[in-house]
Formats: sequence, C-alpha cells, structure tokens
Amino acid sequence: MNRSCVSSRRAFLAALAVAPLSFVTLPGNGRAVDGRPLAKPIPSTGELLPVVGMGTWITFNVGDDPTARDARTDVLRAFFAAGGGMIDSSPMYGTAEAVVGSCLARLDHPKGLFSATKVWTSSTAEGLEQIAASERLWGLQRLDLFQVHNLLNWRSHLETLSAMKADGKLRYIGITTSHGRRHAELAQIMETQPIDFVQLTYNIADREAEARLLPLAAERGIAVIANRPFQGGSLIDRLQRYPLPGWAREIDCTDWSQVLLKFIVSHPAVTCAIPATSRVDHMEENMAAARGGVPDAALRRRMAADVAAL
Amino acid sequence: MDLLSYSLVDLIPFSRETYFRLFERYNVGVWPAPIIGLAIGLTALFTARRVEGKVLRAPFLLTAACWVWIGWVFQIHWHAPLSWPGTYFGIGFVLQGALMGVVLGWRPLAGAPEGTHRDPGPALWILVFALALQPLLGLVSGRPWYGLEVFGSAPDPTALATLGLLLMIRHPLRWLLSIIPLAWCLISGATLWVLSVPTWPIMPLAAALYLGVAVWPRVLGRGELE
Repeated sequence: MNRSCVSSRRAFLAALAVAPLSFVTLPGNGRAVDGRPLAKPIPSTGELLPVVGMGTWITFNVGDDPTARDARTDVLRAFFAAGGGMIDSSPMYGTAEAVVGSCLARLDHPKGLFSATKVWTSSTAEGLEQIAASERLWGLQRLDLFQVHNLLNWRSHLETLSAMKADGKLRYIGITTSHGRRHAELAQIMETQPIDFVQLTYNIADREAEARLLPLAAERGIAVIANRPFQGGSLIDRLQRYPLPGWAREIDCTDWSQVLLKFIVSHPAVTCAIPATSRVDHMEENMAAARGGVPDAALRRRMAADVAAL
Repeated sequence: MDLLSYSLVDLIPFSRETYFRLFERYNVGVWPAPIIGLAIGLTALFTARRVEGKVLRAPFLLTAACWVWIGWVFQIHWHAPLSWPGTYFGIGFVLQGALMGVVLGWRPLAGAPEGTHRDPGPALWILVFALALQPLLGLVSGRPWYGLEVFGSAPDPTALATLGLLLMIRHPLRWLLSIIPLAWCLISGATLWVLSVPTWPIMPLAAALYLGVAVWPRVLGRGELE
C-alpha cells in the first residue's frame, strides 16, 4: 500500500495546524495520544476511544468457513496493529459475533479492544438470553457496550441493560438506528434516557443527523458512533471514479476512504466511525484516517460541497 | 419484530462471496446428496410424461422429498446461521414438501389437457433448464463445479423444476402448490439482485413464464383455472 507514515508528533501538530478550532476549543473532539491513532473521549466517563473502529455487518458473517475465518483474523490483526479499538456487531448479523470471537481468541484477545454489540429481539426474556449468548460468542466475561438495535423493544431492553450496568455486568449502554430511520423517536430517547452511546448513520452524503441528533448528543453528553460511513460501499464506489481533490493532501489523505472517514470523525459530536471491510489493505487504509490532519469547519463545508457536486 | 422498518438489504446480511461459498461448503458437507438429487431430477424428467391422460406420481413425490430435505438441511442448518430468514424459508420448504406429498400422493394425477399452452413444451423446457442449464450458469459466473446449485439439494433449480412439473398436471389444488415455489423465485431473484449477481432475473422471469403459461389457456377459453 502506498501510504506515508505519520508520526504521532507530526499528526498532533498537523491536527493543530489544520483544525485548531476542532481540537483545541470544541468539546468532544480528539487528539493524538502517544503515537496511537486519534482518539476522542466518551463523554460519560472520559475514556478515550480511537476514532476509527470496525463494523462487522456482512463482512464477518462467514459462518464456519475456515478460509474466510483466516482472512478475517488477518483483518483484525491489522486493525489492532494500527491501534484500533471498537468492534461493533449484533445478533442480527448472522454468525458475525461468533466469527469475531473466534478471531479474537486466535489473536489471544489483543489489548485495546472495545467490544460493542446489540440486543435485537422484541422479547425481553429473549433479550437476556441474547446478552448471555453474545458474551459466550465473543469469548468475553463482560462486553463494554450493549446497544438496543434499531430501537426494537427499547424501553424494556434499556431497563435490563441499565440494571446490568449498575451491577457492573457491562460498562456502557446505548441505542442504535441506521439509514436515517426513526430519528424523531431516537431524539426523544436521547432527551429522556440515561444512555452513554447512540449509533446512527452519518456520512458526507447522509447528513440529516447534523440538524438535530448530533447537537443533541453533544448537549446531553452522549457518545456518537457513525455507521454506514461509505453507504455500504456505494459511496466510495461512486467517488473512486474521480481524482482526489487538492484539499485531501492538506489533511494527509491518500484515498477517498480516508477523506470520508475524516469528514465524519471531525464532527465535534462524533466519537467514532465504524467502517466494515473484509480486506487487510482496506483496513489499513481506513485506520490511516485516524492519523494526520483533520479538517476544520470551513474545510468540512468545502468537502461536503465538492462531493455533492461530483 | 417490526419487519416494515427493515429494507431488503437488511434481510441479506452476507456478501456474494459468502453466498457462493455457502453452496461450496454445503455440497462438500452433504456429499453425495447433490449427486442423489441430480439422479432424482433426471428420474423426474424421464418419468414426468403423460400416458393415456395420466401422469406418474413418482416424480412429484420424489420432488416433494427434495423440498423437505432442502428445507431441513440446507435452509435451517446451513443457510439460517448466516441469515435469520433462513429458518422461515426452511419451514416453507418443508411445508411445500408435505403439501405436495399430501395433495398429489394419494390418487392418480390427470395430465394437463392436450392442445393448451401448458403441455408439453413449456413444462419440459423449464424442467430441462432447471436440471441442466441453470447449474451450468454458475460455471459462467466463475464458480467451481463443486459449488454449483443442482436440483434436489439446492433451492433454485428445485423450485423451478417443481413449476415445470406442476404445468404437466391438471389438479384443483395446483394453485396452492404453486405459491411457495413462486414465492421462492421472487425471494431468490431479490437476493441475487442485492448481491449483484448478473443472473438475478432468471428466477423471477421463470415465475412470470409459469404464470403466463398457466393462466394463458384460461384467457383463451381453452382451459380451466387450476
């Protein structure tokens, strides 16, 4: 892969130079830490989370296929080697949790993992079984974050998860949506429920969350996970037909995936983005977006306008 | 579960590569079931002929057994772990096998009337296509021979061949037996479309052909709706 290496010091200085407002004064924004990728604090605890995580939708649902599991183990190895943290999955994703668990075991449970999964059932009792199954499949006694998937039976599940959090059986709770669905109801939950995380679709082409949800997350101190950063791949497929704009160099981007990820994680309210991939080279490209310069508000506006014009 | 809040893409949580690998692993895992299924299909092809207005029940009962196998083994044990709707597909396939056994197994079958569009051309063509040509399309797509989908053990050719067989008979409940195969044609077409497999239109087009051939004689007033 043709990519320039960026030292932590250079990354930090570049970030300050390119995006002084984002990094110095706006709450919720991140900073390079000791050579590791850019990280942002989870508002409810201050714990730092690398801004580029990993999703598992489709890419890790490979069943018992030993060849595919080998390949996914290589992807996870590259993820952790680049300082990755959050892996997000769900019982809805077929065998993805089992595959992640298998890969983690083969990598001897690397340090730095922030495990995030979901509860996805309309039954409260089944939700408890799902939580136990997720812990078993991941091979972990305690996962970091449980989220209510797509707002399904959210009142009951949030009650369960809150009780588990109080008992120390998990660390964070949250709620998810995607594809821009049910934002009004999500906003209501964010306003009234004591959640640590919200997960929603946000990327350079899907920016509805900027109007209400992202400001609300910042106001309420809720961490934001941005899913579908590449619109399931279609956005990046479309953009790859065009050369990178000149401003991409200003923020140390060498491909479109980094441009798209930097746009997302440079929003002050966004904590991390979770691109999914089944390829090591794509993982390395994605993780490189957590280093180097970050766009400031003016450049973000220009990026959005330029991409919309393509 | 609020199914209306999900899109088609949400229901297919795997990649094209994983879907094709599923058939490779399944064929190897249940070997020699694919060969037995193909033999059953060829038997059905050569015995599904009208003789003095009657059609043998054997090919229908053998095909019914294939539906049960595919429902229980492929859909529930192989497909469902990758995709939660697989369990419901499995129930549907087992139900189709049971329906075919119950509805068609207890009395001689009357052949479709002579001179209608139903018999014998389209029915035989669909059968031949499902048994021979459809699996070969996989080779064109670059899939290995051991990953091909064949009659008797894979859902698509079995559903298509069933429609061909149903075109050969006259039965008051033929419409009932057509529902699940037709539904599978649409589900399979939609799955392949989401996965960007170029052959995705084949199953929906086959369903449309079946409906056209089954309904066309009634439009012309030359056959009853069955």
